[in-house]
Amino acid sequence: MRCEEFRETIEETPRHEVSAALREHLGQCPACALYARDWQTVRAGLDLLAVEPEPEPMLGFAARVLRRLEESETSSLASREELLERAGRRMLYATSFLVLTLVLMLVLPTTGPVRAQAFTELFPTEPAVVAENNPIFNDDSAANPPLAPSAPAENGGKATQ
Amino acid sequence: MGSSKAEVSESDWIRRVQGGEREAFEPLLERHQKRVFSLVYHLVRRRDEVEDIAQEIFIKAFRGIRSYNFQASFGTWLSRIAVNHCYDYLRREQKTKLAYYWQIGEEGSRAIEGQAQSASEGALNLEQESEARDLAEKLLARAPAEDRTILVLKELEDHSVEEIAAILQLRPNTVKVRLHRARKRMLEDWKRWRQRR
Repeated sequence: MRCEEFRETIEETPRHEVSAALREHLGQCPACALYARDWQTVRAGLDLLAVEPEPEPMLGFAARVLRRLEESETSSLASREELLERAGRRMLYATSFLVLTLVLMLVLPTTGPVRAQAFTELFPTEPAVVAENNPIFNDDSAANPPLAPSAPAENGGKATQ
Repeated sequence: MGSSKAEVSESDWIRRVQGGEREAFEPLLERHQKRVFSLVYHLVRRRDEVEDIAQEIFIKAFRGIRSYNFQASFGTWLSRIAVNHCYDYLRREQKTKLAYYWQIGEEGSRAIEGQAQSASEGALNLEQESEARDLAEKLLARAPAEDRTILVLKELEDHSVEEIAAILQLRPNTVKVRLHRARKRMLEDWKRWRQRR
């Protein structure tokens, strides 16, 4: 029998029911004999601990537990209500602030040192294309005809005077 | 209601608590309080703390009762909650407390060593009994929370390996292995202490 097997078996064996195989190993292996002796001592102590009187539930134990349950439920309900109230109050403050800001934006004049951006600055229009028939530019366009970028230079790309 | 408390089975009470009826928890409490007190006392070994811890365990059980699915017995389910709660308690305790070797008194240890032979022969006098009880208590107190839990369930609560497996949600073979390791560690601890003297 292996030592480990012996030790596992002896732990589960009642004191007076040691088999012949166990006894044989006990006689041959001093380390296991010591292990068995120590275990018997500890087990005797554990057996005594097991039978010593344990505290009994005092009268009204169940009622005390139920009262604690009731109290904890009440307090958790109260804390939930408080949480909701706090959240509602914050929501109210935030909405008020937002409304006030919007009102101020609408009421305050758009001129002065702090003024809103002009409409045209916000949405700039496309630069006006100079109409060919515009009388203001007619003379200039006649004097300086617009260059035709697509037309290839006839004189090898040299500028004409 | 026509039925008395005695006529109503445990599962009916459980279903009523699951349905939100707090008062239906009372008969469950009364039926299982002794079991919880015993388990808590054996695991924690502090008489002054047992009632508070037991109350916390029942409050936890009440809050978690909707998760109880009737697969294990209610007692096993409750023991599981108690063991987990005490395990956490022991872990917290062991973090704040150092288990010194002087916890095993000099005189006591000498007496225990002398009586080891008597123990193996099965005869202990009153003084030796007291010393053996003291030794076992101190070795349990010094054991890691895992070892202590499994040893208490087996040696003090007298549960079978199968019952321990159901409480700890382990396989029976795993329980056997862990039990052997816990016992071995306990004896090694005692041996180390003797060698240090």
